[in-house]
Amino acid sequence: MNPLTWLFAPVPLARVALLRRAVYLFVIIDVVFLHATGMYHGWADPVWYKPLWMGRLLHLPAASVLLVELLRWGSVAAALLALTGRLPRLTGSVVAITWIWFQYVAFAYGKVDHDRGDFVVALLVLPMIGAAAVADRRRSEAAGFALRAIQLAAIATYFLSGWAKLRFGGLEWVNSATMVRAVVRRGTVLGDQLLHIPFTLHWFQWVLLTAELLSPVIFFVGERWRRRMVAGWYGFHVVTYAGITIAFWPHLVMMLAFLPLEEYLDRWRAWRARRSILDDVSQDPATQDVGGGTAQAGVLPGTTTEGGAGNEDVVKTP
Amino acid sequence: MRFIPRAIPSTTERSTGPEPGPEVAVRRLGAASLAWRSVVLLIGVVLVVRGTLFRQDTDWPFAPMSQFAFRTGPNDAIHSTFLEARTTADQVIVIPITPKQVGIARAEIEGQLPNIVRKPSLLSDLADSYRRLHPGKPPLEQLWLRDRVTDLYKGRAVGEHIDPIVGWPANDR
Repeated sequence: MNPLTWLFAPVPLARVALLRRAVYLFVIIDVVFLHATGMYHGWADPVWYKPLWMGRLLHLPAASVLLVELLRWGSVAAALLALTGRLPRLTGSVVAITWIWFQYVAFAYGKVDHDRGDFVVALLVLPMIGAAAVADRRRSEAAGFALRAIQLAAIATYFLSGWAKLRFGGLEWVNSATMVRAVVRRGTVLGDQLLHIPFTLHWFQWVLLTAELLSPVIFFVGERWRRRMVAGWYGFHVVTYAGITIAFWPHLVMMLAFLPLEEYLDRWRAWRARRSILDDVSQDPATQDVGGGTAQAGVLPGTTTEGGAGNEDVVKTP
Repeated sequence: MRFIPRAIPSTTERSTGPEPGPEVAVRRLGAASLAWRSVVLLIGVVLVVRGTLFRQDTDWPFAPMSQFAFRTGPNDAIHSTFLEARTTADQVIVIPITPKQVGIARAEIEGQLPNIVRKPSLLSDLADSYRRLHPGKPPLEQLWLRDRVTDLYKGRAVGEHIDPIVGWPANDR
């Protein structure tokens, strides 16, 4: 497959619509509940402000309470509008500006987090697509490109984290006490247990660095293995959260770009439809003595089933 | 995965509704659109890789993903700063350095330690933030920045002690 065909492989607009919902919903949860640091910088004295490259280029000022609240609630308002699906380019662009600036405020006071850089990519590419409805199964190259860009950014987070470990920690990073330090500083009850079981944290470092450096393999395997790898990364984040309450939340939303979201929606709808038909059948007195409840309601048009129950007229999405 | 061959001439959608046949409408991009998107992506990739190999945090979002990238030796000491303070009610309390408590995160203070040691009056800002964030509690009249040190031996924690760093207004222990 030539690189351009891969990069622009068409994807159903429905998938973009669903991913947009996840992304903009996350923006709201993030600025209101999750990532509080930026908010408190409004109260911090400007003497603590250490501008990043981006701030010097754009002459961004030290945070004030007014600026922080504008960025925060501006993000929420724009994200709510974006969730309606109307004016996606405009609302998406506003969300991108306010959220990215809000992160800048969070990071310009001495500590930069590295779990949110790839989310910037999602916010920048999603407004490029224009209107996309959940019912719209037409495929689009623009949508395909956006999803690929998000996938690449998500995997780059893992791959380049691995390289950063080699750059700053050297090959000896795998044998270092970095995980021990993380657990000592911020471990949970579960995490602390691992301090007492020898080699677990040490072994975890070997596994993590290997997985990170091999992460681009996800682009070269078949669909089944790809989904297993995505599930594997989600599992890794669950474990890390259980141990040190750090989760790369925005990044978890990005990983959805690998999954056929519109197919999951179809399957869920089909399941619900079957459930309601079965409920009707079992409650209908006329069917009581037939021992109802075994009716296979059939597959709704537009759904794909694993067994391929005669749905040749439906195109399997890539 | 089913491909729609590029030989089919179309730069706009071929139909407006769901297809009964084996192919679904595909909206394609023109050559210019393909080109600028590819170029921007390539520039982004170059900047991000350059950031990882050569640059620092200040280049965010093109910074190295250095969270947990630094190596703590198996026989090193682990440092964790916190605040101790005497209130106007003559109580000595321990305050974790978090945005909710003093408006700034622990890692951010640790990132600025040399500045604080050089100029202890910077701690007065933390006292001000504390007062603004906790109007109902007695304000802080003396602060000490302290370091909880955990010693490691062969990767296991073997001991803990507390070191003073700096105090304000009185730079004592």
